[in-house]
Amino acid sequence: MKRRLILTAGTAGAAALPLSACGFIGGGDDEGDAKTVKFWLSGDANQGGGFQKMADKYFEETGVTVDIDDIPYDDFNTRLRNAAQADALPDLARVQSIDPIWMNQLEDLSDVASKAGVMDNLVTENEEGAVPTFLTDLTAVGLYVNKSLFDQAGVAYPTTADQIWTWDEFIAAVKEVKAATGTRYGLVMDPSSHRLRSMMYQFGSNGFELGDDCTYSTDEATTAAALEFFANINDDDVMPRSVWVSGDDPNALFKSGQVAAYYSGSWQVADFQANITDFEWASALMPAQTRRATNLGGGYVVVYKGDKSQTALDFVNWLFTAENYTEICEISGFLPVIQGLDIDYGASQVNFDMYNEEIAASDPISSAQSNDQLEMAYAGQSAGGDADPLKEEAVKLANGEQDVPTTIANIIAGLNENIVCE
Amino acid sequence: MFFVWPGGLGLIYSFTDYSGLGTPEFVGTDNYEKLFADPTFYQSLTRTLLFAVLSVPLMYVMSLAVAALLVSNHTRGKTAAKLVFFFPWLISPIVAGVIWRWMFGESFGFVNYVIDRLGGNPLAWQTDPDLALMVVVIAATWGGTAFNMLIFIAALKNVPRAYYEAAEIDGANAWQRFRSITLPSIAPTSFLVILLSSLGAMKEFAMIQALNEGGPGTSNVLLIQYIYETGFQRADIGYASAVSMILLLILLTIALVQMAVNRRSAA
Repeated sequence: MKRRLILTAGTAGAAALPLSACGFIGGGDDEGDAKTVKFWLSGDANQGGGFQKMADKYFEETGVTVDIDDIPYDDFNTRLRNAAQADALPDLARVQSIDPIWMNQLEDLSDVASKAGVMDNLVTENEEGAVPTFLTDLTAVGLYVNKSLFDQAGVAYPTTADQIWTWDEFIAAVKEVKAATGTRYGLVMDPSSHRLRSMMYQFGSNGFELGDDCTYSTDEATTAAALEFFANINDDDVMPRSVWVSGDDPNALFKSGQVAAYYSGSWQVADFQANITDFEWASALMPAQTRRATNLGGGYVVVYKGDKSQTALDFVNWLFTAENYTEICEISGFLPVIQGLDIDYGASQVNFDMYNEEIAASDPISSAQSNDQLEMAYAGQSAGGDADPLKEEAVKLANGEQDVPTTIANIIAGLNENIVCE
Repeated sequence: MFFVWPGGLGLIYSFTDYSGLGTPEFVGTDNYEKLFADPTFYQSLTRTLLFAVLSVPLMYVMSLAVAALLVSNHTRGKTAAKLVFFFPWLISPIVAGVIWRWMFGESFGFVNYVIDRLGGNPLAWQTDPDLALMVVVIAATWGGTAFNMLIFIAALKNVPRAYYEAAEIDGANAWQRFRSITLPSIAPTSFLVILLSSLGAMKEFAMIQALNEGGPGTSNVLLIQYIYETGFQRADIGYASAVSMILLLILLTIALVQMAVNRRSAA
């Protein structure tokens, strides 16, 4: 009996140590030879598989295989962290952010950037004057409407700057569409802090800013107004609460045709163009409560130091030549980081023209998140990890777990916890 | 060494501020003090226990009922039924989560569609914390029944037929036979099933993560998910290790209590 007891207890104990068991690690580059480079990215399939098509073309031209691993967005940072700890990083990657854990293993891309002619304001040097990464493409937050529903309800939506609507007018419009057409919901918004920031910018708030004293602060009045508005439209009537509080897929909801509008971003164009056939959709200008704003972002290209880094660099150089870069922009619906290219978006041209107009008319705050993030990473100010207090606390707000002042206080506390200043 | 070393490392980490890189610094019992003052920890602990209390009896009854049906002489199509009941065990918990998520989708799920068709009001399976927990309990029962059923089938087949025949001659009805012969004869198996299911329930992770990420909000974040969130997403491995150590203690207690109860009833 005694022995069985110890054995069972031991099993229970070993099972309770998930930390030692959860390290799902990708990579393992044993199978590749010198002519294969591993390329990790996320969401290529949703963007028309542009990178995959370019990899195929590269193989035909040079015989070098670029082995693309499309990793779910939510797992991406964790996979890279684990790979870094296990010394199994890929050769190159298109990442969402720079992680201190592998930041020092990056090749300098300044030659690539200057040869390709990447726009100056998109190239950030670190303290040693190297360019460890730059954006492969620009994305911007934007608004889509279900044109069929809007037309059926006889409700107009803005497509030119003189027609801009406020958030109040926008919500009134989707409610009208909902009432007239019997649609399920008025609006879905991606459950992401990136989208929430752009909404805050449109309410006149600059989001949460790092001060000289190494603590975060925010303009209480405008931030509270934006969050209050956000909480109010998460009412299972205008917006389905399930998207923010339990991870329902807003893209799928919008594609079902049962939602009047979708607050997302430019990366959706290629997907919608290919996959929405049941109704007509259109890009619309975003609401501006006090000012026009968007939130810029995109994927960052990185090449990791290692045996194959030169092979990987060759591929990146090739990818950013005018001809190839134009091609991937057209396939994936990327806004280019290189000026002066003649990109033919075909049927999506009208959408991209609207994005370009929106970006041009947006407050400069719209590029703050992306720039700050790089600068903070280079300065070693970010503690790493996937913590996203803005999203976590907004979810609690939408779930009715806490009020707006508590949410703001918790976000600031969470951000402060993740910042390291020297 | 193989079994003890990772566990020991976790214990050591729980006294440090390790974040996954750099050198861990010893911080004494800071993590534990923070833990006992953390309302999120208590919330997820309560939710985990509630989940176990709800799902274990349900799983026990379900698997015993199915097993009893499958060994009964009156049942037809046993092989096919066994296959059907065993099917969920073969599915990855992630896929199971996705299936149940689709079934109980709030806006366009199958269950709400049926309710709607029958003239009822669709229920908030994803945004009501208690209903969301119910979905998780149902999904966990669905997934765990198969394995326990197999154990029960083996146990039921080992109960000597002579007992039943004697009882039948004495005029005992089916329920009396089940209560006085079957249940006592399979007591050791019942103990094993309850122990394994309780431990399993306390450690449910992949299925819940795929089903609703512990939603709505943070209301159904169970301990394991809390460990995952603090350990990996916030890179606070020291703190996460402290939570795992507490979970380990709880699991040990459950195992020991159940064993004590079993020993007493066996004596």
